[in-house]
Amino acid sequence: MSRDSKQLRYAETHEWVDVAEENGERIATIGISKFAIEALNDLVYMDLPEVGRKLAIGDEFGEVESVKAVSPLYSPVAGEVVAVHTELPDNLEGLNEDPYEFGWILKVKLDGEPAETLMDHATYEKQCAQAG
Amino acid sequence: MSSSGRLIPFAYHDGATNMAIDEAIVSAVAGNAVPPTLRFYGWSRPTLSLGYFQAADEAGDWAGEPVDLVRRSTGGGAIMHHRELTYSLSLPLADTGPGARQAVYRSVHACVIDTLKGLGVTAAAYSDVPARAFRSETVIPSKESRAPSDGLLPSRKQPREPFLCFQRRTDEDLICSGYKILGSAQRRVRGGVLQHGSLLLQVSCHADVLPGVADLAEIEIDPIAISQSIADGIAETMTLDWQSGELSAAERDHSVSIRANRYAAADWTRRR
Repeated sequence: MSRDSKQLRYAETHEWVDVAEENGERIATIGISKFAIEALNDLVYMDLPEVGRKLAIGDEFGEVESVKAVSPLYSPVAGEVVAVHTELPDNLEGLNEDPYEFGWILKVKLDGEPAETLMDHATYEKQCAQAG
Repeated sequence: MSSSGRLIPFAYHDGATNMAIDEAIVSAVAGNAVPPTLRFYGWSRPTLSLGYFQAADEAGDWAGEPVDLVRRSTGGGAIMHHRELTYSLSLPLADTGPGARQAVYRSVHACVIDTLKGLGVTAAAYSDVPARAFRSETVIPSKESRAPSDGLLPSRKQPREPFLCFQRRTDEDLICSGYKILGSAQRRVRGGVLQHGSLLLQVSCHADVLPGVADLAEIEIDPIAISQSIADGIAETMTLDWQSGELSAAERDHSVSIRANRYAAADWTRRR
């Protein structure tokens, strides 16, 4: 079953977060929103972090290139990277087709709560509408 | 009302120093420590700059004595910095959306179009060229046969896009007589953006498949004079009042550190 975008939380910088219990741990799955993927237009490269890396809220965890612009991806959570979607950089077209399931980028074992500034789906959609 | 901007005087540096200075500047600009900054510069030796994500082994025989190799922080394809004019523009930019990104490309390129128009040269954005002379994957033919062609260069590895920036096409690229003469690329940082651009002035003996605007228009171009004209255009478009200025002491120190740890470090240049 595909992840429901309306149940996710979103960062101002367009990362989505899905927090769930997995084997007794609180795990945040993180990706990039459909809006951002469509707006970026043509993602050609993506760098992923290494498993085991410790992230603080706001840390850069990866980079993408689109239309000759390199942009960082920011972590909306703190914790340890426990999985990365290694198939993704070679299959970026899959992000367009399924940003919330196939398009997951990394999983982080949470250390504390996600950023307080994360938005629910409705609030995020308003931000996107204002951005045009 | 115009706000203050900083225009760094034209200077020549090696590739690693040029890249480190630009990174130090955009870091300071994004942190509001210094105003928006424009810099035109030259390269003390011919240098091939790789796009941030490009594989170093694709450089093949483009780089090597006497051509230096450096990796940029910005995206896109490789550039042979020899008979071209490089600029970097560092702006504070809170907007993370792609619209803001495109606006910076378009604004600067429009100023270059106007400057070239003043020299009697017609250039246009690739998206505005009615019958596109080339498709994005088309490779420019050699100077011996400068006619639009779909032919591929022999003995070069062919990745999914041409290796050299000036053999690629995106909507904002500037085209003159069917050839790309200006390309720009960006690096977003928290609170700011660095835009690099290269205006190809003349064909280089190190990349002789790429004619420059002076070759195509059969005119002489003074890089310093054209820099000032482009700077004036950007000032008007972005309502900035350029003040000539040098790097701050903090930027200079930061650039030295960045140079040593990144751009002058062979393992960083060849990290991909």
